[in-house]
Amino acid sequence: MSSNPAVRFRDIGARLLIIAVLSGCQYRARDFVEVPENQFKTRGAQSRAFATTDREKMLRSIIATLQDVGFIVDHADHALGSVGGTKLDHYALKMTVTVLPRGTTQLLVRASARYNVTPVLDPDPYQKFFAALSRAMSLEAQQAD
Amino acid sequence: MFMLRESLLLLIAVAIVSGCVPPQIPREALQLSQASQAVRKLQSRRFETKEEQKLLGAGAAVLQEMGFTIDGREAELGLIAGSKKQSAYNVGEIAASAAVAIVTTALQIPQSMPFSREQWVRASVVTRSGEEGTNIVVRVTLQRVVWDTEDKAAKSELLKDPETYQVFFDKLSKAVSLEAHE
Repeated sequence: MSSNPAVRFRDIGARLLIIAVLSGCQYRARDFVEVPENQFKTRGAQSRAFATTDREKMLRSIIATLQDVGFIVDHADHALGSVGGTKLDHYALKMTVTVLPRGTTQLLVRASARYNVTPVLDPDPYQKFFAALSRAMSLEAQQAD
Repeated sequence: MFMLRESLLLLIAVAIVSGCVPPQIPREALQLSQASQAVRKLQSRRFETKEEQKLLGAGAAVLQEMGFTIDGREAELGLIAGSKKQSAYNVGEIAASAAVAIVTTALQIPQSMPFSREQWVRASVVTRSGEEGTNIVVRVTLQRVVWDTEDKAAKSELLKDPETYQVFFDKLSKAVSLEAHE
């Protein structure tokens, strides 16, 4: 190996680059079962509590809100309290929203979105969705955590 | 020379790393906009009836009449979802593609321009009680993905053509023998 630090630096860089190329963007098997650390941070952004127990009104408002922000509603299940939709706008955005009772006076709404094949972890889009839902319900969306 | 190599290595490294970074969701993707109201108006009609299930059933029948297959329904929440595949050939696009082929061949740099071939159209029909509780509002939403002759998704969009929605509501109005109000 050369004693010239610049040449050594270049050799190390080149080797690291070869490793990067060979490994590509492959995932390890455990990636599929691990919950990403940043998903815990997103969970708060994905949930809101509403001071109502009218589950049907909430589910229908979720359907209307999804339509208002450009989604087609693919499925809805009253028994499971779940609604799903897709937005196509030169990209594919899939969204699933579930409604669960929270205590005896509230409903917990949880949304999760996938942009093309990537889960949406940015809190900002969820904030905008809950603002629109809050308007449709004429109720304040409260932080759930 | 050394600087050039280093710069090249850096560029390649950036290209590799950026290739692993997922694209970001557009900021306005889940935001209500000024256009939301206009699109809602385009997609919605009010019917003077309280029979929501009858309207929903008629909506499913109209979708089928228009060639859609019903993929899902949830009567308790007033939802019907359907889809269909159909031709997306467009005379203008075909003519433009042929013109490009002829001109580029004459210039001895033959090029082909793909054109729309097939489209997958999806529809959802949603019913809800109107504000007064004496009528039902029906909202239909249509989307499509268009594939070109190179099997690439050339377009993926929400349909905003008023005529398409009008055709659906005309058929629905006829099926339930009720006038559709804007």
